[in-house]
Amino acid sequence: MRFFPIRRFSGWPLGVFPVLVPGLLILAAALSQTSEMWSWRHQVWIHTSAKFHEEPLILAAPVAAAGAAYYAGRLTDASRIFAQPNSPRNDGQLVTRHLLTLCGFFTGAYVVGMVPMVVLTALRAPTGGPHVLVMLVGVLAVVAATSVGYTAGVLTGTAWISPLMLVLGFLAIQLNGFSQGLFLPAVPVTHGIASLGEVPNTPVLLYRIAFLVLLSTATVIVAVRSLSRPRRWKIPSLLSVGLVGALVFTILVPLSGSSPKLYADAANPPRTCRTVSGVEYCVHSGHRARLDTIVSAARAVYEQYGSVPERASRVRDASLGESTRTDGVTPARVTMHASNPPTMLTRSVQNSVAFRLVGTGACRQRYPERKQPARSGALVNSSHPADIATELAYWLLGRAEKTAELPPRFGAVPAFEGSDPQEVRAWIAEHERQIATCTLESGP
Amino acid sequence: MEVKLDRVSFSYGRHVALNDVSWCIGTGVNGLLGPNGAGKTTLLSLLVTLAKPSEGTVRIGEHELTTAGGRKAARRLLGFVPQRFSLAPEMRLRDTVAYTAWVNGVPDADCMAAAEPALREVGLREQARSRVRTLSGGQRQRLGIAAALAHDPAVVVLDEPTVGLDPGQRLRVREMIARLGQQRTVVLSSHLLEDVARLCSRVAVLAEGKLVFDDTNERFHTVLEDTANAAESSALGSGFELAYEALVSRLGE
Repeated sequence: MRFFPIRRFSGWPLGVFPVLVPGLLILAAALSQTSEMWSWRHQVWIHTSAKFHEEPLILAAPVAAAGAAYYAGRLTDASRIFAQPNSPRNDGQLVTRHLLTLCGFFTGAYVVGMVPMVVLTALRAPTGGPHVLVMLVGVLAVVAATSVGYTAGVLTGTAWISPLMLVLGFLAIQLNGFSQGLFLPAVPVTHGIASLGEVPNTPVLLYRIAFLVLLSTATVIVAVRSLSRPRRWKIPSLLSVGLVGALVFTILVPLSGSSPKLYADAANPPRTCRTVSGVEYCVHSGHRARLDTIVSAARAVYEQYGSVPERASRVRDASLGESTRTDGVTPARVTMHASNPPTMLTRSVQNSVAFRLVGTGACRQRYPERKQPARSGALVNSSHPADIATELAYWLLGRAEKTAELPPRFGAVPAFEGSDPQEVRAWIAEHERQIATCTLESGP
Repeated sequence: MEVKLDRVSFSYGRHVALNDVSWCIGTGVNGLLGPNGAGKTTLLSLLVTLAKPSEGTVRIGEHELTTAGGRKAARRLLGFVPQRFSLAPEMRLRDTVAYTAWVNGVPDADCMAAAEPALREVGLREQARSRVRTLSGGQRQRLGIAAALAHDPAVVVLDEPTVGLDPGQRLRVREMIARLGQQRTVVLSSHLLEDVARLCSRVAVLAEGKLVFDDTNERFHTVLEDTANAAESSALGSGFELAYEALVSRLGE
């Protein structure tokens, strides 16, 4: 038997487990936090891209930091025979080797965990393509967390720093959640959802990338410099102070102004429109597969209403953004999420169209202090014009649900209880002007 | 390989740790003796490039240690085992030695191969696949020396290598150091006269930052015995230690 098997020096002196275990945890975090998207029928590239710097990072970044801190704590303590400050490679070469191993495993695991979501989006998203820079923010965040954790391990020289890094990393990555987005430019996780029709705010995106690169570089330099000292901690040099100062400055500059948006409405999103029975339906081209559902859902409400007034003759996908208000008619806006099943979309469309038809906008203008009841069961036999309009909306929705054979959501609608649908439609036709101006005095 | 200190001084603030020390050594085991605070650790720090002299020059072979380039080049020629060092208990012996070899400049592909002769040299070849946690104190000390040898340094610096070992382990380590001295320049810092008496071809004594003795082991023993006789203490052991203290005191004066 050979003394040593023929193999190239692995570079994993601690064995594979200290990198494999965090790598598997990161993989599990990435898979579990994206698995809900696998079943979505309508994937959206901007959402998929943004996912790289959202929920999966909440677990992946602290695990990467803790794993790297453990690794550095075990291997770089100045008392180790193999970490003597005078060793020829105990400098940038050592840090490069360690971080290539750690980042290779951790970011590799993170990216692999994202692959199913990306592949499914490539297969199912009707338009657009991946936003590589947005994705890069997530990957760089894992690299930065690894670098920070590694440097903490080098400076303390103990693996006991690892659990602390796990907790601190977990808190740091969620700073935006604790501060209403105050740290949005610097901390990747925003707890927000990017949706179709939005595009990344390029300056903020570039800032985030620059910040993460700077953070990684600064921590690596600190690690390299401290490795060459018998005592890792020392009064900081001008270079160290400069690096920390640059980091602090980088964080503070965007905080000094108003917090910028990470995603903005696209200027001219591609649209698909169709006019049916006098109603113009427009959706983002990425949502065109759901146009039929939208049309049939809206038609059920229009049929109950009996006519299509000009003021409610537009149905627009919210993903079209500001462009929905350019033709002078305020449309019924439909918000679509990739995760919504068809029934939820139907209800959402019907809700939007019904409240547009009954003049909710006019009621809000006329009675801004008056809140709309949450559901019809909360209504009393009120003679307030806004309440009558709301009851009419719920009556329309209740009737449309029956047509679509959806389970009923609403209770009794007092003002319209027992009324014949034909009579209600005749009453609507008679009172169209009052409905439009929110001046109804009583029901049918 | 020749190691030469020429009129070296070193201060920690106002405290002068080394004062105008000149010392020249070559192949063989070179003992460095001195009481606590004499400047032994400072001198070793200068030799292994962890510190720069305030005055004077240190040279290892062709490399002048006062320049960054010289220190960098010299580091590949140096193997250093500090008095206190730690190992990662979960690592295997061969991985410990191979990894240290890489840190000390051995190319990737040669690290595993470099571990074998180093472990053989310290008598741990059979345990190469064992974990460090299974080793005794003496075996750990030998593993530390193997790690420092894996990159085949021309100069080996050992700081109190037998401290804390039982008599059997101490004997084993001494035999190993003696073998090292056949081909390499070994600097052995110790406060144990017995280590120096049995191992070293040359002996230097530091007292209060000054090199007060630098000669052969035989000459050292002659002076020591004279001192012992003068102190009316002729026996080895505790009497020998007393004689040494008297010698240091006398040389210091």
